[in-house]
Amino acid sequence: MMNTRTVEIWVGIFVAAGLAAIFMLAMRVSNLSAYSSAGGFDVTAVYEDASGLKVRSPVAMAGVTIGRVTQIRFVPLWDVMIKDGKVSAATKAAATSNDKNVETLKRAYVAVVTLHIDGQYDKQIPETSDANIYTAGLLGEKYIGLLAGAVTKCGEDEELLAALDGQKPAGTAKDCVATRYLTQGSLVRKTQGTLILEKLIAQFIDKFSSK
Amino acid sequence: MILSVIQNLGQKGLDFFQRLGRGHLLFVQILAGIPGLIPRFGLVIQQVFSVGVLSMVIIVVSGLFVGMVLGLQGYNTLVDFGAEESLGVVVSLSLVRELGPVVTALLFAGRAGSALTAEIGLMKATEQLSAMEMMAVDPVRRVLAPRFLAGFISMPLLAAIFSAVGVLGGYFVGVGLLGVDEGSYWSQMQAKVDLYNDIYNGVIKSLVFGIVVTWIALFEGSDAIPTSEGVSRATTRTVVHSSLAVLGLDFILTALMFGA
Amino acid sequence: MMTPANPHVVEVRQMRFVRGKRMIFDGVDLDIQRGKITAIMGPSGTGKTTLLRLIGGQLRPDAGSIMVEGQQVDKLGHTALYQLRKRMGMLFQNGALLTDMNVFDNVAFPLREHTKLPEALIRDLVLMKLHAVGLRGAWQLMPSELSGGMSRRVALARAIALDPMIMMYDEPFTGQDPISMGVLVRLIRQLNDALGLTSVIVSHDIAETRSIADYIYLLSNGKVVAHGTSDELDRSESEWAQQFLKGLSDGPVPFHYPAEDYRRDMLAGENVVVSNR
Repeated sequence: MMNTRTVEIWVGIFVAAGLAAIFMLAMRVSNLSAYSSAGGFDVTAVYEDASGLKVRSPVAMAGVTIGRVTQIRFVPLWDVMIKDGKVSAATKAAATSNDKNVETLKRAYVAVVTLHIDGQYDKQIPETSDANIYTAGLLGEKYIGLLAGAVTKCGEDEELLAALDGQKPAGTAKDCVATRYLTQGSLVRKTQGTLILEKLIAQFIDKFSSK
Repeated sequence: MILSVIQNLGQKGLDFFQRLGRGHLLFVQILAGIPGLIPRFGLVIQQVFSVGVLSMVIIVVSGLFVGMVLGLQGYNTLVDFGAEESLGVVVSLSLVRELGPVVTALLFAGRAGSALTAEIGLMKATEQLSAMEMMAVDPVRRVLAPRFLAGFISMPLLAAIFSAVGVLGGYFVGVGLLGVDEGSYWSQMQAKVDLYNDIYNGVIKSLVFGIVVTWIALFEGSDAIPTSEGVSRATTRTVVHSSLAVLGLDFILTALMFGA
Repeated sequence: MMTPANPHVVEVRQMRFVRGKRMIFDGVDLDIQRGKITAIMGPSGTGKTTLLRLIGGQLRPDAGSIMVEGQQVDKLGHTALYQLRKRMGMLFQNGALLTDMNVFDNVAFPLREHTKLPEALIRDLVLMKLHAVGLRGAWQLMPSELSGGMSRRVALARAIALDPMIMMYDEPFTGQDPISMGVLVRLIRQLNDALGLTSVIVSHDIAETRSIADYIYLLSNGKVVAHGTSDELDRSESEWAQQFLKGLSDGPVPFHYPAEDYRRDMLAGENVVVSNR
């Protein structure tokens, strides 16, 4: 029997080696670094079809993973619209009536996807960005690709020129809306769901035969 | 004649259930003994030494070779599809999900499990356990519980060492010998291996295997017929039963974790 | 010490014990007197060791009762039984030393398990106990380095480490050379008298046991055949007792294990063997 001290040292080495191995697997082998930074924010995107997308699918921008899908739900379009403020109070009131359009909206279900995006991109990505579902490679898995939208809608030229001249911008137009950026709770409006090969072919045949 | 066959079968069945019951009772007794170990952790450390540290060499060596073989085989398969950049993914996923926990558990059953059974069986045969009882020391708490806890602690650490060394072995072969791009080896791996799905589940697997293998080893030891033949049979049973249990449980756990 | 006045430390009443299909004890009555050395003798296989295990509570009788110090051993719960065992010492046939520790740690084992004494005090106590069995100089040997007699003496030191009130010896003389046998006989007597123990010896070594036992029980076929002091047994009328004490090869205990008729067995040839299978 070795003495207690030697045994304890060896056990210490063993435990340290084991923990180091777990640490290496976590840091070096897995994608821990991809979502290591605490914080981050959630935005939602609505898709007509989100097939192939999974919870924890990556969200990429220009090929860089900036977040992950955290939730995929299936809700009536109507609920989304109310949340988005697209439905006025009057319409809401009318909703109690048997308005046919409202009925349709209530029946139309869409996929609502929650994206968790890394904190360092908070208020960096314009709200006008596209969030499309793409396929990595020919047979790869689905991911959401963000495509940066326009930064401002109006007065762009004046601002630029004024900046070059070292002057203050000559006042922005009244109706000019300052660019909004994606942040906690934002909704991405421009989306393109999964392209399904069968549907495309069906559309194509449809067009072809109707001609 | 037929009657005696039926009688024999019934006897075997009853024996089986008796052993099953005894095994589970022992498990509960061992669990009940674990809280008492907290003030006497030195006992556990002693056992982590003989169960874990002494198994480290075989784990490191086998991990290295398994990783190297995976690197070689994976490369040969992937190169046909022009996908040798994915070698890191193949090596690391096979290791972290399956081979790490399973091969470690099998080696552990052979190296540490059989030793535990033989030790406990011989302690029983030489009346050391009885002597402890007569000294008012509960052998389940004093002898079995620390060994159980040591197995539980050691197994995930050994499995992690196995996987990590294996990934390095695949790296040596793939990047060092076969010329796979080093950056792709690591980056593809990082892109595809998931912390929760793969590594966390791998650790859970090895924890379960640690419990099962140590439990079987301790039970077979304490249930051994106290003769040299009985102990040798019990040792064999430990290796066979725990290997089968590991492989069967691996299927169930895999189905639960990665299936559906 | 519930009833220190009770002259009997152990009282066994109408105890029956069955192992498998074999009746080991069938209505045994025994009394172990305080401060005396009681020997329990009988041929091999009569369950003498089993009796010690029954007294120690490692086995439970199928019927009857076993009282130790006024407590019924077979009815005690785990905790109470372990409390009682702290006051019992048992010397196993082969010593049963813990093979992963040296002599010192073996003797210190019960002290470390049951007391919170400082290490310095434990050292003194262990050396005292080892001195009592004459092995103080061997404290750093491992059990594998000891001879059979030395192992037994170390185990004896370990058994008395907690100063028990009753010491049980399981076949202490078996397989000993005459010198270690003499040493053990002396030790058992000395310890009993010096520490005020009550001793129970299970043995079939007639001469040695009779030389130190104050009272002897003879067991055979699950029953007490005869009991009394050594002299009383000599005058016993039991034929069996006479055969056992004098070591005669034939008598009430036949030389042959029960078997079929010798002549028929020889003539039957292989058929009998096959049919037995």
